[in-house]
Amino acid sequence: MPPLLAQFAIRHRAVHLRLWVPLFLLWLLLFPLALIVLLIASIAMVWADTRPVRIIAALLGVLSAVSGSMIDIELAQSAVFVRFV
Amino acid sequence: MSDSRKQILDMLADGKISVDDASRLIAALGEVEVSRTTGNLPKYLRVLVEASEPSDEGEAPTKVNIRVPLQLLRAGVRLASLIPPVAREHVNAALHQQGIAFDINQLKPANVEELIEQLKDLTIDVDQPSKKVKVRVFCE
Repeated sequence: MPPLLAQFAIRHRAVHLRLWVPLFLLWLLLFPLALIVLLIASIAMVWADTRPVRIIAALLGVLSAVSGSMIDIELAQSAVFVRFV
Repeated sequence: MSDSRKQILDMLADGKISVDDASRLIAALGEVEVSRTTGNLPKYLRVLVEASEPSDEGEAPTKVNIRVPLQLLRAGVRLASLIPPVAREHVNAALHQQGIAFDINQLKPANVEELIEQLKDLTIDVDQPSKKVKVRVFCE
């Protein structure tokens, strides 16, 4: 399943920013656009003699695998935190 | 062959169970073995770094904490296996130019599970007291 939520936190000196991005809403919004892009990409891939279904499945696999990733970097005066759930 | 499989085959040979029963039992045993193996596999690659400059006494050290799902490795390898042969040659040539002796033709989804299984025992600890740097790479 693709990540449903992205959590961002940025701190620089006195500025703190926390952001929760509901990716499931983004996927819903992008779904119609993705369908059109997939259709065009599939035609292009067939024309280029590649296997569109396997490539699309592999790309979706990469997207799904992003869930659980986390990057947390803390410096003396700033910090960045990114997590996909 | 595991003891359980041998037992099932012995029971079949003795006529205690039918071929269908033996087949069902062996299939069920296989599922249990697979779930045991995958249950032990690590899920994430972790990289932890803690560093502070000797001149930064009193300041908080730099900390890096990265967690990468190993599923991403699997998916990446699956994607890499779909790269057309012509593009693979270009990638290999570019890697060689950079001094990296790596052939992406060897990157196959079948090899990934074995690699991940080996990663289970991977732990890299680097501790450099003079520069106050600690690096830890492991799978969990």
